[in-house]
Parts: sequence; structure tokens; C-alpha cells
Amino acid sequence: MEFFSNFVDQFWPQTRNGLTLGSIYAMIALGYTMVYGVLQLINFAHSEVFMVSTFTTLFAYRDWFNVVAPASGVGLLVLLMGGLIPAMIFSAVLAVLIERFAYRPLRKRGAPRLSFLISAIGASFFIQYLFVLMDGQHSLIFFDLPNIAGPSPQTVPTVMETSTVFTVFDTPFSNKRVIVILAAALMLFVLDRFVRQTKMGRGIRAVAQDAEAASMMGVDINRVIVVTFAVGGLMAGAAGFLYILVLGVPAFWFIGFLPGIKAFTAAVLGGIGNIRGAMVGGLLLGLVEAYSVPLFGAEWTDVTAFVVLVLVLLFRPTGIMGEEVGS
Amino acid sequence: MKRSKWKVLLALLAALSLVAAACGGDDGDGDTGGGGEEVEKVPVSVYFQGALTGPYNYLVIPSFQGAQLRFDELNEDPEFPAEITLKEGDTQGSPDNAPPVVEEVASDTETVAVVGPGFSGESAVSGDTYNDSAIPFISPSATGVALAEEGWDYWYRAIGNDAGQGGLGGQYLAKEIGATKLFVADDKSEYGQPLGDAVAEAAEAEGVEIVGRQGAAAGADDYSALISDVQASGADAFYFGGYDADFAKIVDQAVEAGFEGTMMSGDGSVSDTFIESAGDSAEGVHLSIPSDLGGDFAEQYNSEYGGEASTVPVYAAEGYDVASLIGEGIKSAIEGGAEDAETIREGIKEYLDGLVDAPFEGVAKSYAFDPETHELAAEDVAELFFFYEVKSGEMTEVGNAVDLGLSLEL
Repeated sequence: MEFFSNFVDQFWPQTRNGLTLGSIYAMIALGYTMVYGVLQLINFAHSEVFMVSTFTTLFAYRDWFNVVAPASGVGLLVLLMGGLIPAMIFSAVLAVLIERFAYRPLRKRGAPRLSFLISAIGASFFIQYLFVLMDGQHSLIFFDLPNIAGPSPQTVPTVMETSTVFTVFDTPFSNKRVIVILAAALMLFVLDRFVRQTKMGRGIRAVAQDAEAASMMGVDINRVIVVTFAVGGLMAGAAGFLYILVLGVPAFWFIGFLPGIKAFTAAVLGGIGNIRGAMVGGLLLGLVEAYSVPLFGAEWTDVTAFVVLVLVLLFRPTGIMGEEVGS
Repeated sequence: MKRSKWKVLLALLAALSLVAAACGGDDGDGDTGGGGEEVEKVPVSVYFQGALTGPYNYLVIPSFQGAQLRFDELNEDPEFPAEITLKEGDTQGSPDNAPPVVEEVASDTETVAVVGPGFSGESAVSGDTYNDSAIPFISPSATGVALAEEGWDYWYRAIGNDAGQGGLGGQYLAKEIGATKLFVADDKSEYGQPLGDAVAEAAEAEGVEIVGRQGAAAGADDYSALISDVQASGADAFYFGGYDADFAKIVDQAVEAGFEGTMMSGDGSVSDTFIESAGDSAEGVHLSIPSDLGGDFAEQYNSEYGGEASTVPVYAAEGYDVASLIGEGIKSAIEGGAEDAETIREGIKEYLDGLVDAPFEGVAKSYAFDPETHELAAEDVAELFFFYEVKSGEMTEVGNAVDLGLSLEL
């Protein structure tokens, strides 16, 4: 029973770790789930929307603000906003571009669902390898590609010193973790209100329930779809920024792959198409992954996560919260 | 209608060929040196296989630069009988990327030798093909013990292996650091896992309690859960068997989480990437490596490469020396009558095997290979290993294993 006492010992620290990572999964998962809601399509290029935000953060700090040392006070607040806002905007723009070029042409021609899937995977590869080639040494026919990313990771300057804000059950919560958890909670709340209470939100729900009927009732489907992609992009952008902030990892063309797969899993776990489901699924997946380390060992993290997914789907094939989109 | 479609197709083809022309700029710039017309230079290819790009590139770029430097010197030497083209076989350090590179090397009819593979995992999947194709391949950096047990006749290792690194590393943790409770983690790779096992075994033999043994997949971003496990174990020292990019994330996140024990890793983390990526958190981290970073060659390396030199010249001297060995092999082969790539390969192998009787003095150390295992022969293996501590953002030498009183009783 040694593994169980380990688990008890580490319950609070691992809960903290799981909530942090889970909040980030939840924010990415929203993009998958909302797009699925309106288009019944898994946007596999969503992980690249996340990736772009890590590079935007890199550029904001390295080139625009020239950050050399961690800041504090008002300076820090400016830096945090100066990283977060561009990251969200660039990600939203990319998400909308993906919709415009990878999906809309197919939608107009009434292409079969399989074509969308291939187009999604193709868009994902295209963006990844475009970033690999953007190292200032390659050109695309007539254009010299700018030096933006390249094949190796690039360190993002640290903007914030870590300090402990409060301690619960002997478990210190750092300022960065508190920011991630609070920011995620705030954004998820705002998004939930947006979808439930605004006119556009009603449009999204209507399209998700029955696109044809919604269009007959005067909902502009194209507009709804663009907004859905943009909102998913904003969320993934914020998630990418927070990911860099809390983990201090470098920006990398492949950085979106794992979080993307995990967030997709979280969306399925919670019930694909269900917004609150994505939030629950994200947090649950983060916690399961963290708890698996004291219970079974770090090498079992992914195995545990996917066993939980299979078990949930066995008993609730539509995920924890079900597949209800419109309501 | 039909005709216009053909035109579009033609235009596309033309555009594609333009792209191909733009991308394929690396060919045919082999006609550099050759001032004196004394010898007709035989054109040969030598490949460098390793992580030239990707997350682990700064572990390998210095040895590539070292090799390039030496081959340039040889090509400029009018008496050297061959014109060597050093070709890049970039695998990003991943075994998954190795097969196409190996295929390219083996199918190039001018290939005479390979510098590399850089890492142990890619070596394991590449070796059979090189060996079957009778291409000598000498690694300046792969330390995995199991490689010597594959029975490859054409494989050679220019450094000490992880039996030594792990054994001495465990002793170092016990004696030099004074660790009492050690937590060992690895990246589950061909390199990291056996190294972690060897360190844990050696430390335990010295009376250190092993309070945790974990494997965490390489390439992850969030190591918080592992770090919480380390903290809960009460460890006062942490060892990671794995590569720089991952160790940097672990060290950084462990310091942020308030872990106060000593952290240590092996040669896979001795790089510019580790220092830069872990930043201030790297202070006080200990590292071991079967190479002397501060050798005489470091100065030459820095002055040759200037701003492009890696701040940590990991295996740069070994890269240079392996290139020298290949150069010497080519020379002795051609002087012995070899004319084409196949006979030159055999000549290089003969030369390398012959070193047992007359070792080659390189810039890093003297080279001779054990006739059985093809490991680097040394009177005292411990002599090959050096320990470093990161101080003020620099790899600062703690000492040679022998000077620190560590020894391998095998």
C-alpha cells in the first residue's frame, strides 16, 4: 500500500498541479468543442492555434518589450497584458484563417465529412512545417520566409519572479499558478455567459442545434462560424500565454501537439460539443494526470489518462456532461 | 477549357521546379581547396549523423563544427590525397528520424565513413545498416553501454561509456555532494534509462538511500507532478538521466517549486541549451561528462567559430579528433592503393583497428580502440570523466574523476 500513502502525502500538491494544467487543457478544449458544436468537425489544426500564441508571447517579450529582467508592480501588469492580448489576437486571427482557407471552401461545395478531417490534418502539418521553415534561410517561390521560428526551441524571457502567494495544507501556491487558475476561471466564466446570454451566443447555440433551421430563422451561419473559431482562438491564445508563463518552457513549433491531443481528450471526456463539459473534462484530465504520478509513477501518466477516458466512455458514451450542445 | 487546365498544370510544375531549385542549394560546392597540384584528390563523402536542429541541437552542433573544422584543414592540405565533403545527416536526435538519413548515407556511393550517430537511441536503430554496408561509423558523443554489445565490427566510440559515467556519477553524489537520499529520474530513452539505473546502483552501493525512481517521457513540458513526488520523497539530491532541453525544464520548475536539494545530470545535459534555457535556476547544478570541456582545443574552437561557437563546447574536441581519425584512415587507405569508396572504407577500418598498437594523439586525448568491444581503450577509464558545476551561468570544472578520488572497480 505504499503507493496509496504516497498519494495521500502528495494529495494537495498534486491537486494544485492538476488544477493548473487542467485549467489550461480546459481553455484549449473549448476550441475543439465549440467548433464541433457548430460544424460537427474536429479542428485538428487547433493545436497550431495554441502554438502560434507561444511564439507571439516570445516576440512580445523578446522583440517588442525587450524584456531582460523580471518586472514587478505596474511594469509587470503592463507586461502581462502586453503578452496576453497579442497572443489572444494572433491566435484568433489564425483560427479564423484556418476556417477561411481549410474549411469554408469545402463547406461551400458540400464536401463529405472525411474531406474536412483530411483538410484539418493538412492545415496542422502545413502550419507546423511553415514554422520550421521560417528560420530566415528558406524561401517560398518568390518570398523569403522571415526568421520567426525555425526547427529549434527558442527561450522566452522570464517576466515574473516566482513567489508564494498563500499556503493551503502545507502546499504553497505560487503567484504564477494563482494567475493561471484565476485567469482561466474568469475566461471560462465570461465565455459561458457569452454563449448563454448574448445574441451571438444564442446564434451559436441555434446553429449547433440545427444549422438549417437557424439559417431559416435569420441567423447568419457564416458569421456564427467565424465567431466560433475566433472565440476558440482567443481561448487557445490565452492558454498558450499562460502555459509559457507558468512552465517557463521555450516556444517551439511542436509545442501544440501534446496539449492539443490532451485538450481534445478532455473535450471528449466532458462530452464533445458541450462547453461546460470541456471545462469539467479539462480539469478532470489535469487532476488524473497529476494523481497518477504518486499512484502509479510518471511513466504511467498517459496510460492512466486514457484508461480513464475509455472507462468514462464505456459507461457514458457521450462523455460526462453528454453531447447536448444547444441547451 | 481543357487547354487552360494544362496551362495551369504546366505553370504549377514550373513553379515547383523553381522551389526545388531554390531549396537544393547545397549541392556541388566541394571544389574548395587544392592549391598545390601535387596529388589528384579522390572525392569522398563523410556524413555527420546527429541532432543538427531541434530541441537537442546544441549537444551536437559543437562536435559537428569540430569535425567541419578538421575536414576543412585536410582539404586545404595539398598533400592530403582526398577531397572530403562533409554532409549533414540531421535526425534531430530522434531514432524515428534516423532511418531515412541512414538510407541516404548507405546509398551514397562516395560515402567512406560516418561521424556519429550523435545519440545512443539513434545509434541503436542505425548501426545494423552501417555495419551491413561496411561503413565505419565513429560516435564522438553516444555513451549508451548497450551499443558495444551489438557486435558491430564497423562501430567505434571515441569517449567513455555510461557504465563509467553512471558508476562515477553515483560515487560523486555520495562522496563529493554528500547526498543521503537520492531520487533518480530518467527520460525513458536508450540513453537516459540505463544511465539512471547505473547511477542509482552505484549510489546505493555507497550507502545512499534511493528514495525514488521514476521515468518521465522526453519532450514533455510540465514536470510539476514529478517534482512534487521528488519533494514528498524527502530527497536531498536529484539525478536525471536524459537530455538538456528536458533537464532544463525540470531544473527550472523544481527551483520554482522550492526544491532545495542538489540536482545533477550526465553528459546529455552538458550544453548551451541547458544553461540558457534553465537560466538562473541552473546555478549549483552538477554535471558529468567523459570529456574535458576546458582542453586546449576549446580556444581554437572559439577563435575559429567566433560568434557561432557554442558557449559550452561539448564534444567539439572529440568531433575534431574523430574527423582526424577518419582523415588518417583515408590517407592510409589511399596510400595503400585504395581507389574507390568501398576499398577506402576497408582501409579506414584497418587503420582504426591498428590503433591498438600505435595510438593516435588527438587534441583531446589519445585514441585506440579495444579489439573486442571497439570501446575507447584507456588505462584507467575513470580518467576519461570530468565533473562540472554551473556557477555564474558557466560550466565550472570541479575536477577529473581520478583527482576527486573516484574509481571504477570493475
